[in-house]
Amino acid sequence: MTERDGDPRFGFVVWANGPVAVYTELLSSLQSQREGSWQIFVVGGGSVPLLEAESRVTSLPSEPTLTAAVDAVLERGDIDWLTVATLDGQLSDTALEELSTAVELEKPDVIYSNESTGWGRDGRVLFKPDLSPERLRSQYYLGDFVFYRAGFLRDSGGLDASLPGAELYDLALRASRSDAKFVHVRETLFHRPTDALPIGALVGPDALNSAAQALSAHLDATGGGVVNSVTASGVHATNRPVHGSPLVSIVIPTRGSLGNVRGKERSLVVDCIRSIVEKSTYGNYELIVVIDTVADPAVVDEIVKLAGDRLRLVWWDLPFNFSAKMNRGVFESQGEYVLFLNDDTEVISPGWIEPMLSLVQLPGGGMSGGMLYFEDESIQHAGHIYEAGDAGHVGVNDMRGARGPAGSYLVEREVSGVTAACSMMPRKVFDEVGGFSLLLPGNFNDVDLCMKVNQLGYTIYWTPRSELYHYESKTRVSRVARYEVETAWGRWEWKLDDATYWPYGGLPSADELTAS
Amino acid sequence: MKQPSTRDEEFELYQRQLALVDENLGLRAALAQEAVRNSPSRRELEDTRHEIMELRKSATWRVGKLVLTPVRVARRVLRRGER
Repeated sequence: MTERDGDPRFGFVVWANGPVAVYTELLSSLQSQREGSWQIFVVGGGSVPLLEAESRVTSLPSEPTLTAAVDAVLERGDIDWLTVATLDGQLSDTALEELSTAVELEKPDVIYSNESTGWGRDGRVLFKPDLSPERLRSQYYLGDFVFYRAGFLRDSGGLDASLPGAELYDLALRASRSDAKFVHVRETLFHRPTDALPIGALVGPDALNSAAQALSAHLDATGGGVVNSVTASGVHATNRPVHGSPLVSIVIPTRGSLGNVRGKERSLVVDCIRSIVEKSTYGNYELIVVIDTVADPAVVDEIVKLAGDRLRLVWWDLPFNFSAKMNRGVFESQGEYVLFLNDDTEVISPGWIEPMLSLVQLPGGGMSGGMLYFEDESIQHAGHIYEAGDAGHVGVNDMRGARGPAGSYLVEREVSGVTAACSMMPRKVFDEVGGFSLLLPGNFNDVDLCMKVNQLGYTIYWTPRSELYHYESKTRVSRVARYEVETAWGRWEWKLDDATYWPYGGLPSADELTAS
Repeated sequence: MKQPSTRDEEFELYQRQLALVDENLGLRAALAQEAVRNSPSRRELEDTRHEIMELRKSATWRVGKLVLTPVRVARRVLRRGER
């Protein structure tokens, strides 16, 4: 069927196995639209006088499944865009205009928008990221206001009737692995009823089983993976596999100095290496320790004793330059993957290497990072935020165990950047982007590295499954050289406002950081 | 070309190669930044979109659309006839 010219016609499918709930909010908000062509199709709802009084509401005979209901609407051929109306929520009065504009300008196959729970002054906006495929395999974040182009739905076979309760999740997963173009309208076009279940919630054992099947099929079709659990809350534990057992080179720059952790003077790098050696479940790694020549020989002895044959000690007798030191470490490494690690970190989760490795092994994977905690168990890093011309860390001020906005601390996801305190890259990508910039010897070198990785079209991922402590002082104020600011902002200021994968804001101010 | 003789010299060569790539990407980023400065930002586009939406709400727009409806319908019919 060819696409038609003219204003897009939006169809809302209400599927009911019996008397339909009265969709008064949906109906009245559609009647209040300033512009836009729409129809509601009540499939199997019986007689609903309130709805029948509106000519743009069509009652269709009962269908046994949601799939059949959607097919019945598609067969009519009188709509261009279709959504399954699962909630009696309100559209904003410009919703259809916004959608029409997006259709006209961006020619999408799938459109979704931000939503709010409740409306008016009490409404809380539910922000969403742009298409984030790895996040989608752990969380159906698209919501309940998602339109599919009718032609796309027909071509992709519509909904899968064998997945009751998770048909829409399955459809979104299939679309995400096809060439479908997703457009996220960053406006709040739909207000959910206050008593609605959270976005992505699954109701009943059938829905849970269906979601597990859909996720399993999706992982199989996109490089493999395991569904460990699906939950009614809508956050699912799915892992990508590590392919092969490539050598990972862990690069640690250090002065070998002492630090105070939990009230005790400790050799940070020794504790860091001990935690790696004692906890890592991944076997094939080497340790490249780039250490200042002024380091205490006792510290060096301890490192040698702990790391054994895995160790490659690289002496550094030049002035401090984080970037050059890291580059030297990579130069001395032999691994297909390099893992940058600050010496003031300590591994928590034994399987910390595997999740980061599995993510950078994805097609187009450029970099990955993990979850870091301060000594006081608050979050230090859950990805980078680039907001309003500044850069910072997601999660600062939240405690370990927090879910984060929309459950974002619980799921592997695409991010704009990760900290060099703990991050992994394929060596070839590191070389391709020119490594750490020598123009940024002390600050912003990781932001710059991430920007370069993004610029060349690679994807950066974050995982909550690689957990470490980062004993950086919360109140530390970096000494930032003016030329570092000029260099970093001279290159990337235009990119330092990026809500693609982190739409929630929350960059803590300097005051907030020093106050905590 | 002189071959590096020590590990340090080899590293210097590697570092220089990295630096060249880095400067190249940095210059491209700076150029892109200038291009962005001279073109509307996403926020400006959003503002423009809002202005269009406001325009569409206006009585002038609505009356104009109503007046032109027969023309739009006729155009659609003619197009169908051409297929």
